[in-house]
Order: sequence, then C-alpha cells, then structure tokens
Amino acid sequence: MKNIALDIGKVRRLSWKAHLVRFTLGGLVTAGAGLIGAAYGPAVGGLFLAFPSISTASLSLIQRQAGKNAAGVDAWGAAIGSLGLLGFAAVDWVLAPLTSGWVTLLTASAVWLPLSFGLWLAIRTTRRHLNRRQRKPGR
Amino acid sequence: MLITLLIRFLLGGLLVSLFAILGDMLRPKSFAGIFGAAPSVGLVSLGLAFATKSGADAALDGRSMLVGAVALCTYCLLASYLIWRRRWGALAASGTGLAVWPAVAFGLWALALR
Repeated sequence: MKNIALDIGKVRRLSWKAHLVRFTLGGLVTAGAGLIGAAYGPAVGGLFLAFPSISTASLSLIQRQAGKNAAGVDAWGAAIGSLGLLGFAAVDWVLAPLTSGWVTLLTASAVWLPLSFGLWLAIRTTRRHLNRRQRKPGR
Repeated sequence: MLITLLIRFLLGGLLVSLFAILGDMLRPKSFAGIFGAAPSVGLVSLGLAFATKSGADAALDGRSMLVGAVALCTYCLLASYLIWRRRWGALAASGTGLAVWPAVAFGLWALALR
C-alpha cells in the first residue's frame, strides 16, 4: 500500500496555462454561483457550492500527465471527498444561524478534511483486506 | 454587485487553484483526489453570505449544498467509472458528468427541498 507523500517539485513542472485554466474556471464557477444565488435565492444558489469546478479542470490535465488510470483514480478520490463535503454542508446548515461566519466555516472545514480522510482510509483498508482474502481462499 | 462578483471570481479562482495544486502534489492519486471536492466555492460564497447577508441565508446555502454534494459524488463516481473501466477520455467523461450533475442536483432538490 502506497503511503501518503508530497511532491513539491510537481508544482514547478505544471505549465502556466494549466494554472490559468483552473484559476479562470474556478473563478467563473464561484461568480456564477453568486449570480444564480442572487437571481433565485440561496435555496437554488446553494446547489452550485458543490459544483464540480476543481475536478472538471483537473481530470484532463491528470490524464495528459499520468494516464487514464490516474485520472480515474483521482475522480474516485474526489467522490470520497464529496462525501466529506456533505459534512461541511451539514455543519454550515446547523451552525450558521447560531454562531459567527468564522466559527461556522472553520468548524465546517475542520470536519470536511478528517471526514474525507477517514472515509478514504476506511475504504482503502477494507479493499486491501478483501483483496487479501480473495488471494487466500479457504482461510 | 460588480465588486462582489469580482471578489468572488478572484477568491474562487485562487482557492480552486490552491486546492488543485495541493492535489497535484499529493500521492497516492486516490488521496489527492479528495481535494478535487474541496469546499473552495463554498468557502468563498458562504463567507460572502455571512458578510453581506445573514447566517440564515448561509444556512439555506448549506442545506442546498448537501444536495449539490450528492450530485457531485454522482459526477465523480460516473467520471471515475467511465475513465477507469470504460477507458473514455477525461474530457468526454467530465462532459458526461457535467450533464448528469444538474439532473441529480435539481431532481433531488425538487424531491427533498422544494
């Protein structure tokens, strides 16, 4: 099982065009969510706070750099992250009327990452365990 | 309104870029993918909702964001399946997922939140 690692040099190997595309796409989605919220209210605008802005911009880039398997696996990881995003949204829904924006958003962020990481770890451990059992039938 | 839009564009673009860069640097890819669903748009939009409107509006945003997150999960699972198992190109898979996202988001919203 591969351990989690950070390759800081990777950032320097990315083209400026890739950074610009992601920045522009992210900015447009965020501005668009604001326009939709202003036009139709937060009940509709809120849907777009979970629009696939990062994934859309990144998957093609990942495929170009590392192949289809890497892109597919990355999208799988994003699916797990979106489950963590449920936690973020739930915390905001509950805390926003009760406390300040800073407390709400910090708490929501503090829930999103550990929840996503925990789910990732649980799924990965379960799959490794199942793979081991499949390789050793009869035990 | 224009200034708010500009702030949204700049901050949203910055956060999306930062999370995407973090995802680029991390290994394995399945872990890095988590940052593809980072709450970048949510953080900017909710922050502005708290600053310019009210906690009640931000709460409504969050409630709908729950449904959006389910649609995002659907998008990601579909894209992963199409790329990984069916060997589609990432662009075609993302495009298909983008057509599915609103169907799931608005469908669930109409069923559960309207």
